[in-house]
Amino acid sequence: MTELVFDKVNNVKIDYTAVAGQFVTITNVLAFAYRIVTVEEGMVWPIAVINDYNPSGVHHSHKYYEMLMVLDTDWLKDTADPTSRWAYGPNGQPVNAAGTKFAIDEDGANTAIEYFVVSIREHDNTATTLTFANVDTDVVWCVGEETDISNEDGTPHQTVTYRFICLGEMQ
Amino acid sequence: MAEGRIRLKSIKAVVANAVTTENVLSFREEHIHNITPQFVPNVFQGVDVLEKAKFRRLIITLDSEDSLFGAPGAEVNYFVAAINIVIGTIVAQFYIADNTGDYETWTYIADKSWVEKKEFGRIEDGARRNTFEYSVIMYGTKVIAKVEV
Repeated sequence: MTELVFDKVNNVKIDYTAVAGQFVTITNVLAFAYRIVTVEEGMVWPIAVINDYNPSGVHHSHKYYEMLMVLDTDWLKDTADPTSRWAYGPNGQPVNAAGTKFAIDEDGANTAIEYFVVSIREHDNTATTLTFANVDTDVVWCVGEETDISNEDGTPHQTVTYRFICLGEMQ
Repeated sequence: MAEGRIRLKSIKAVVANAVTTENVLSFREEHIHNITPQFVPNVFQGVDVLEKAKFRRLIITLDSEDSLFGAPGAEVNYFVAAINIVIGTIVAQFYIADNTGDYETWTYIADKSWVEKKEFGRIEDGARRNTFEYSVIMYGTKVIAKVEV
């Protein structure tokens, strides 16, 4: 097997439709992380499966990806308009000019993200892409946002961290 | 229309109930979406998410103490027995990372709010900083604007 050593995030491309060319390409990504979360509660412990024993009636644990995207502050849809954050609308508006809801709706259901592709660079400079969604399948959602701004001496970055879940398989 | 980054440099002040506090050491906003993934039984892939309440938690750490939520002597009563008094508006001001002095205002217009806790404020001889941390949870709207000076 080949070991992949990830070194840098080139960009993260996100949009609410899978139409090529309509996505935002976020380049100020300080860090990207993902993990697999297993829903334990109410499920059978996976030990039996690990031990190659699969008793009848066992339900496979449901799993999903949780992803974190840490930005150097934030990304704008329009640099001339500081209110045009990529993930949510200004002044609490839930719908953008094209009639599409944003990834984060303050007071309603979030819109599924239909295109989520992470471009990273390996330690030897080869490019690798992690595709969590690239067709309209309703498997990726933004599920939270955290902002950290500090006046402490030596703070290297003021960060905004977006949290996502992906209910499908990464490719 | 070109997309691009916005970088913030530091915290200018926090204004709550028209009282300005400038000794803010750090500001943290957590926009929490209480979401549960939904799955088809016995099938790996999920089908949807179940959305519950969303709310924000604001964590404001001060370098020493100040009257954060109201003028001295008229602060929000954190221990009121009835429904909590709403902290009407909290405005966080952040300098933009350029040399103009322009800043952004993040205005939180709270429909409901709750002073969740106030952490230990420790005063210690020789400490680099003596901090007081407030934590507020709220429902409401966030408005971003830019102020050019």
